[in-house]
Amino acid sequence: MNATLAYRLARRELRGGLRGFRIFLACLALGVMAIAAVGTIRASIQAGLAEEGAALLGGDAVVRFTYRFATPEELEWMDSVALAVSETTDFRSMVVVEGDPPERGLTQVQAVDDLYPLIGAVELDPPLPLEQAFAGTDQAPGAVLEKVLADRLGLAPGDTFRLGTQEFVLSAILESYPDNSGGGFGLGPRTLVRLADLAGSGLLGEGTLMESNYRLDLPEGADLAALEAKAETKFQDSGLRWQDARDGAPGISQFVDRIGAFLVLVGLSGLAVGGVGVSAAVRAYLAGKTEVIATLKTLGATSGTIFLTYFYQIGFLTLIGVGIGVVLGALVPLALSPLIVERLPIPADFRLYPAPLAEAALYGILTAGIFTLWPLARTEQIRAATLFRDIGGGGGRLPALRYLLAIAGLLAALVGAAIWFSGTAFLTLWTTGGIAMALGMLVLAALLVGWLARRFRRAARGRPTFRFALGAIGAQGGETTSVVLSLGLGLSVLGDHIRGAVAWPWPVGAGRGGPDRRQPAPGHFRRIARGRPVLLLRRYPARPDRRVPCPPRRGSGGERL
Amino acid sequence: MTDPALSLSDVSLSLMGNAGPVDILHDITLDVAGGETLGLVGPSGSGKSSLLMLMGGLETATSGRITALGTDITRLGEDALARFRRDNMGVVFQSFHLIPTMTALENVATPLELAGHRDAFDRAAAELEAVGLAHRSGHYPSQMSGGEQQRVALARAAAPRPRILLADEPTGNLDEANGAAIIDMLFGLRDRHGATLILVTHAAELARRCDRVVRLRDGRIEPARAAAE
Repeated sequence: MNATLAYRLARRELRGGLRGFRIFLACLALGVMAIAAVGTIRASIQAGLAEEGAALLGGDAVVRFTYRFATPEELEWMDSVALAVSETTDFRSMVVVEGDPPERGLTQVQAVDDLYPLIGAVELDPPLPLEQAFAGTDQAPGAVLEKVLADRLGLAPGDTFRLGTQEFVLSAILESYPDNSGGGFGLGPRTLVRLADLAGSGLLGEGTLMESNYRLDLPEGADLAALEAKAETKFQDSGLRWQDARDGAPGISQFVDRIGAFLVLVGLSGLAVGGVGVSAAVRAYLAGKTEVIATLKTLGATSGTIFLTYFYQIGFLTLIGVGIGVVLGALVPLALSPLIVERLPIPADFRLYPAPLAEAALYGILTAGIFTLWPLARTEQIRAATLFRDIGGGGGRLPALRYLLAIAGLLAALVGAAIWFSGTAFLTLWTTGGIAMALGMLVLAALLVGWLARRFRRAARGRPTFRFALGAIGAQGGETTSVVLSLGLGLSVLGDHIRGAVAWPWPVGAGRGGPDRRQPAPGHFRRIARGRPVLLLRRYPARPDRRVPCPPRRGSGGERL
Repeated sequence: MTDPALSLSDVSLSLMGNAGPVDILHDITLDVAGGETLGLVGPSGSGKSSLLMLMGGLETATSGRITALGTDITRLGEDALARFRRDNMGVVFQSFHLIPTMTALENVATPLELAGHRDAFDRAAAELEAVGLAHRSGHYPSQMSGGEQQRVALARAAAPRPRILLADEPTGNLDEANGAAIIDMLFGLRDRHGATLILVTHAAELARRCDRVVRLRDGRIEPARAAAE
């Protein structure tokens, strides 16, 4: 085997141009582009989440306790490390609207102090300052509800409702608030009240299922990791939980991760469909090169040299296809970023991210390897005698064992990479199994179609057009298998995605009351959703007031209950 | 007597057809002396080309033994046969079989490159000049006439200085004038390099120029006759 000579021969062979490789390049480029674009969007969202972690969290860090407030010692420590500390309390309750019968609605109450929101802004409709909204009337303190809850209970600004024994007046509709994604899992729409106004409600007492949150505004450049370690050491076994802006919205982050991983698997399915086309294109190309290969063998080229000659060519074309896919996969999200950012309910920072592009390129190269190695290996079976006798290209025989092992290795590498990057071995293996099973069933279907075509060819005597068609379908080594595989797998993937798209509850209401949570998710989303509760997001506000004026003390955080 | 350049002993060839095995050659026994020119003649389908391909290791005998330059080529694998051809044989086909994406010069240089000659292109250029095509070295096969393509194919076969030259109806696709020119060149190359030449032909004129003619009929050798007869 002479690698240098094979390279020279490959270069000469490529003078024939790329005309026969348009399908090859399109299949590969489209698959890689889809994966690269999904990866870029995922990375953009993750970067956006990381960048806006503090705004999503409502503070540089938050210290949480379950079923209790912070002790004086804990409060003292927080005051010592932060510029400001804002205290909020979360619990579930029922909003009651008097009537006959009274209307009730489950809500997630967030009781806040006067410093809230520490970072970011609350948006109300009508646009009131939060302080004014909480002021209420002479008869009752004010509160704000999310629109979905107000609508369900038939409440409009100015109406009254009860939380426990405390009456509130609805001052405004809660449009958005800055810490909506980091505050844990809520079972109902949000109600925002002042912590001090709950004193007479009877809701917060011994045994209440509540969570207290202390959002910290830390000095610039504070070492979050060190503070976390310090808090956890100092208050070990106290139940203190630390979260900070490094991962301001772990729920969203994980959700985006899972959705991104899932979409990459969808992209891999697409690549598998494209791979069938890639394989067919290479087979057709090499079939056209049978005479050249036989001539080279006559002149003394060994099988290894010939394999390398065509391996280089296909490798070069693979790099072109993958390159086109990577460039498009990077540029398309960037070009569409204004549109995506506008519609996305979470922050995203669109720019070039090498990691997802490299991931997509790796998938493309491995897939091309898997689907082209088989037809490439067949070049070894082309004999010099082909030049003077039509003995085919060795089409019926399996490639040599080393090639089968190499294909198995590439397949293992592809699945391993997909597991590694997606972090979901279960989903990846099932996807792989599904694709393999679909391919197997389609191969069987193709064999059946070919067998039926051969069987009925005799019955078509006297109808030459029909007989020719059946002859082409039933011909050994024909394109029946390739066509059935491409069409079958392509339509399966397309059908599944259309089914998923129709069934999926697209969050058209995000930012405007939220999606309808009662709609069923398609099967492949359900598993993700079951794995971890998915936060439903509102459009989060700009953060013009990243740093709020800091009072000398926590001050009027409300009387402790 | 010197050792034969090629020796065939009880060689048979059967190929699998759609309707079952087809016997192409039956018990061929034949010696070709070094430097000899042997013409293989016979009617179409008599097995001439198949016999030539067996001699070149391009086809595998069903039974029997073929020795070329002292090597039993029936025991060699595909790659070993390719290397053997590379080092010892040149083949000329009726249909030229030039590589369409390579220039004339590159086509002639390819067997030299495969054999690892560093001066492949210099030698190829000299061979092209020898067949009168130095001015066409940068042209692709599609830019040349049939006669020119066959001259390039001749130069390619002769470039590695093979000890055995095999030619399968080298004038079959050419007009009379071009055919005569190709034959002159073929014999000229043989004379220059002292190679053993075995050629398949239907042309009586060409057969008469051979040292010996072997006539095949239905896959068997008819009694040999001297070319002079």
